[in-house]
Formats: sequence, C-alpha cells, structure tokens
Amino acid sequence: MAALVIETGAGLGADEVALAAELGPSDVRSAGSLEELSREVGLRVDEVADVTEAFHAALGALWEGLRRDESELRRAEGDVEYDYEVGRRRSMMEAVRRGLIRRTLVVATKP
Amino acid sequence: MSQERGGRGRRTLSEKYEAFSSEAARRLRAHALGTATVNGYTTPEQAQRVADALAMTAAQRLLDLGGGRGWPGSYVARRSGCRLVVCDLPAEALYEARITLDDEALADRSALVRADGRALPFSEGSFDGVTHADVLC
Repeated sequence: MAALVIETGAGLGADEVALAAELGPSDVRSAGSLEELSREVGLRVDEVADVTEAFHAALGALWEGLRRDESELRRAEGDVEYDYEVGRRRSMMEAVRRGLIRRTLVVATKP
Repeated sequence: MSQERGGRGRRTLSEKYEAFSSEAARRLRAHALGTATVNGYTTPEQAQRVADALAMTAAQRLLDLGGGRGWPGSYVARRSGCRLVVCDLPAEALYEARITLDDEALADRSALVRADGRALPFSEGSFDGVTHADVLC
C-alpha cells in the first residue's frame, strides 16, 4: 500500500481536533494515524513521510488560481460554488498553518 | 445547487464531483496541481513516489480505493502497465474516472467499481497493490 492521507496534527487535544475537523476535512478525525492503523492490522510500515509543506503549497496554488481566474470561475461555476471553494481553501490553509492538520505519505507491506 | 450541503454546510461526496467540473475548473487544477484529474492534493511528483513505492508490473493488479477521478491510480497504471481497478462510492466520481481512463488509453486494462470502502466486494488477494489519496476530504 502507498497512500496519502490528511490527518490531524500530532498531540492535539480534543478541542483542537474538533477545530481541525471544522477548518479542514470534516472526516479528518479517526481512531488513529494511518501509520498506527496500518500497524494495527498487521502491515509492515516501510515509509512515513510528512508532505505537509507540499500540501500547503498546493492549497496556496489553488488559492492563487481561484483569485486570478475569479471572473471566469464565477461565470462557469456560479457564485455559491466559487465562494465555497475559496472559503474551503482558506480555512484549510489556516488549519495547516496552525498545525491542526498535516498530510502524510505512508508505504506499508503485507508481511 | 442548494446551498444546504451535507455536514455543517460541507459538500456531499456526490456534490464534490458535480461542482467545479467545468473546463475553467479543470484548467485551475491543471495549473495549480499539475494535473486536471486530481481529486485531492496529490501532485505528479507524489504520484511518482507512489508508483516507485508500489513497483507494480504489467502482470499485476492495482486497487485505487476511493479513487475519485482516477488519480493517482491512472498515473501508476500508465507508468507500470499494470491493470487498474478504481473503486469509489459516488457515481459522479466514477463518471469522471471513466473520462480519465479513456483519455489515458487505459480503458482496456481498467475497471470501475462502485462500492463502499468499508465493504469491498473483492476476495482476499485480489490485488498486488493498493493506493488511496485524500479519501473522504
């Protein structure tokens, strides 16, 4: 298995996890990190890499593109969808900056 | 489309694929992320990392779980020659995945399966590799 997953930051309290779900993906709360869950089901974890910086850069690139192409995207998608998309990218960037969410690459093998 | 969405105003999974599917939105994703087919945040460089880690061969079968528009599974299949099954729940996602697989000339060695990741309709050992990226976000 090679997977990329958005997870809550390490060592967050319950209030911070709730805020992570508010600002980031709503399903970011889980029983554990993908690394932990992989070990729990008997997989051998071969690699864990933090790709949060690239994640933040991707969010930033989307944000910039949304602003640059605003009039075209508003025409094509409508104001409701456009404003929703801008709001989601902004809140996710804030969640990353505050350490509430991170993105991780996990490579695991069935022994 | 209603402003009322699933879960505190969030898009439902189906809405996620219906919204932002215009040509303008595809160009935005292609410009910002390096590919229009991405349904999460996986860049082509990260898709290559996934391909390297899985090291699939043409004789093997890959499952892209919650594969959305077929990314990064389509990337791995194109590079390795492996067979690909893209599995997801929203029909809208699989419709977009079909476009990706046709565009990538992968139709003859790929399949789309509509299923819940919590109850997959595959027997043990059906796949040699599994990938998933940003499922449920």
